[in-house]
Amino acid sequence: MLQPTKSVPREELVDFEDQLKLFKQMVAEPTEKRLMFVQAPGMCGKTSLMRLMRGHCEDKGVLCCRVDFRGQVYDSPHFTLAHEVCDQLRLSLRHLAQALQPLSSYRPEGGEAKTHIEGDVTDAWVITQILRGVNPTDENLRQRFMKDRLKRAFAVTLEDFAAKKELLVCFFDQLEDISSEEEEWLLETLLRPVAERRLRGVVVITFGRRWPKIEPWEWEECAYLIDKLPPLEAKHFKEYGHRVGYPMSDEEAERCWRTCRGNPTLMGVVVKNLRATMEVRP
Amino acid sequence: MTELTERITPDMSEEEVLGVILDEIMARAEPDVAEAIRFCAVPHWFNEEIIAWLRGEGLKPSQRSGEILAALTELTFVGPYYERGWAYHENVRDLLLRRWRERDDEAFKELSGRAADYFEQRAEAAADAERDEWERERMYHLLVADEGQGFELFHNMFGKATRFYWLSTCDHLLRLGGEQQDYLTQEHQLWWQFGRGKLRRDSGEWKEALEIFEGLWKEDLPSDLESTLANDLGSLYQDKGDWERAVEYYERSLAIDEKLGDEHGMAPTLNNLGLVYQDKGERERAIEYYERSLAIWEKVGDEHGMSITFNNLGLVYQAKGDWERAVEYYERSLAICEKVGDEHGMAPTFNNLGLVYKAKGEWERAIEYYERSLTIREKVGDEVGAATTMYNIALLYEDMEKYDEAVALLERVVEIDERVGHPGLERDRKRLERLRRKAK
Repeated sequence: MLQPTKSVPREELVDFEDQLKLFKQMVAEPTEKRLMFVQAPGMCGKTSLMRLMRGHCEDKGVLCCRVDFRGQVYDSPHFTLAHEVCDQLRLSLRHLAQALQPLSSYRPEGGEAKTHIEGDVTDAWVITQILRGVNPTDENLRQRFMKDRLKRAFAVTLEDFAAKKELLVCFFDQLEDISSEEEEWLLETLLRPVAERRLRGVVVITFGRRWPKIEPWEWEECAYLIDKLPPLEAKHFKEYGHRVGYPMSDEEAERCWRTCRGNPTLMGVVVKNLRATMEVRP
Repeated sequence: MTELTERITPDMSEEEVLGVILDEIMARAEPDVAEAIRFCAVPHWFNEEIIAWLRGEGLKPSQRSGEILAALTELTFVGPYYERGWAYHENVRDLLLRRWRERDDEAFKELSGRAADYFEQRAEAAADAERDEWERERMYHLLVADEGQGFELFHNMFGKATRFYWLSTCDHLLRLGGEQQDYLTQEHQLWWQFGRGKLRRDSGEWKEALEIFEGLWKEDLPSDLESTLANDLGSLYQDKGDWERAVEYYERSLAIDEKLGDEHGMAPTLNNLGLVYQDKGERERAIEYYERSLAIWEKVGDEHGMSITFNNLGLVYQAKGDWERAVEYYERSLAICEKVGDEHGMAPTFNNLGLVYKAKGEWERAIEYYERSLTIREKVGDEVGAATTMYNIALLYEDMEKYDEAVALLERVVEIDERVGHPGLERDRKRLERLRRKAK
């Protein structure tokens, strides 16, 4: 069966120079603003912009993770989303395991169920067993005290990592599909701490049809608030045609640009898909 | 290309432009690929197996299904969908679905039924952890193909998610239901609205919940929904401290349940009415309602409900100074928690027992219960709960003139208060200072 491994090659992507420049600046000088919220309607190129940003991270050797909320469900996000982010960044899960010990059914050899392991949990096998022993439906996961424990554990994990590697970037996509409890986790665990200049070395970028639920005036100082993405220009159409193997004259690029209203999604459909079908079935 | 650009006029919206271009692509594609472009918009994602199933090939894809998938993945508006397969750009999918529904709703319903069958098969074969995801997709398609069955599935899944506080699942189910809202009956649309309010409430967004519930209350509601909504509205007003309105709604809920003969539905409402009267200081009335609630819990064998009402009865007798009965009820609540293995639920009751014995002057026994509460709270990492119990122990030590022990405990309380930003921090600091002076 064909596996879903396709993504648009980065070399096909064009434009968003201003937003990309801003992002590169954030990565180069993470002591300044470390948050960027992008809101734009569908088909404006958010996904392409994110891909360009992730490509930049790859080029610079900066670790990044991407959480897409489309169709995904993270109940008890203090556990599940934190776990997802750590997994993607290949961060140690030991702090999360330590915090979850009281809820795990894992029993150390010779011990009783739900017994604390003295000292830090460092053994990878034990960590896995503790995490496996946690029932995601355990109602204690949504108790305030447990959320606080997990929040602290996640923060320590990120800080430990950032202390060694200096920088990591978390991308959150399709914010319009985020649930209330997931958004509460995002705000409490990442956005506010970063805004308050904690979690050094952590950069967070969100994409969606809306920003996170914030008061924009309160966040202007600490975050880049990007409202809408600019339409492409005719030169981008020409460049894109060239990159995907359907070169166009200036006049053709201009006509195509006008047809597509500078919209990047329409550009892809017209320049690549339609030209391809025309070529096969003239 | 020129021909196409001429068909696109400046007054067209982006969506209309997209429609013209998609039509052009489908007109130029081979017929079965064009058909697949349309039917792959029905599920949220697709892969070779789903294409084969929707083409009527069963679960074993033919070579042609593989070729069709390959053609689809060449389209720039098709992208990977996790490990599951591929999905359209949402604007493209929305447009294709809308046009299909408008042009041939019957065919759309038929294909939704076929999609529901596919997800049913996958759900049956899936491991426990994945079954819910497949079931949700099945429900989504059933809402179109067989609204009654689809909504029953929605109702059951939403009920389960609410019981377990899977708030993100609730959110997701409501979103799926919302996508198919045009296919819901009037009554089911009202239940769906109620679900939205319930989720807002469970998420602590009281204002939004109240807005949704109040809006719904004005509608012509079926009796079972009216009763459920009245109980939830009562509870919201109770939380706001508006006892009069809370009682009004609870009484309304009770009257409907009585009329419907739904005894089980009356038990939580009676318990809630007990809480309101307890808050108002009308203890006798509170007891009356708790006892009516308890009688029903016992009759239907709902132990969880019984343990809650026993604890509430304990509190009201404690407030009346009838310590013997308070202890009796707390112990009955504890016995149930022990039986069902709800260790965490025992901690507050142990703490309450400590308070009773302290009031009775049986200080050693009070400490014994406080310590049992503290042990559980420390074991499960409930720092705030542990701080409450330590505070109570410190007060007792103060009465016993064991100031050094009291200071040591209050220092730990203040340390936790500071760490979690507890609102009682200032009060606890002042008490600590006072105790330190006494200790000198």
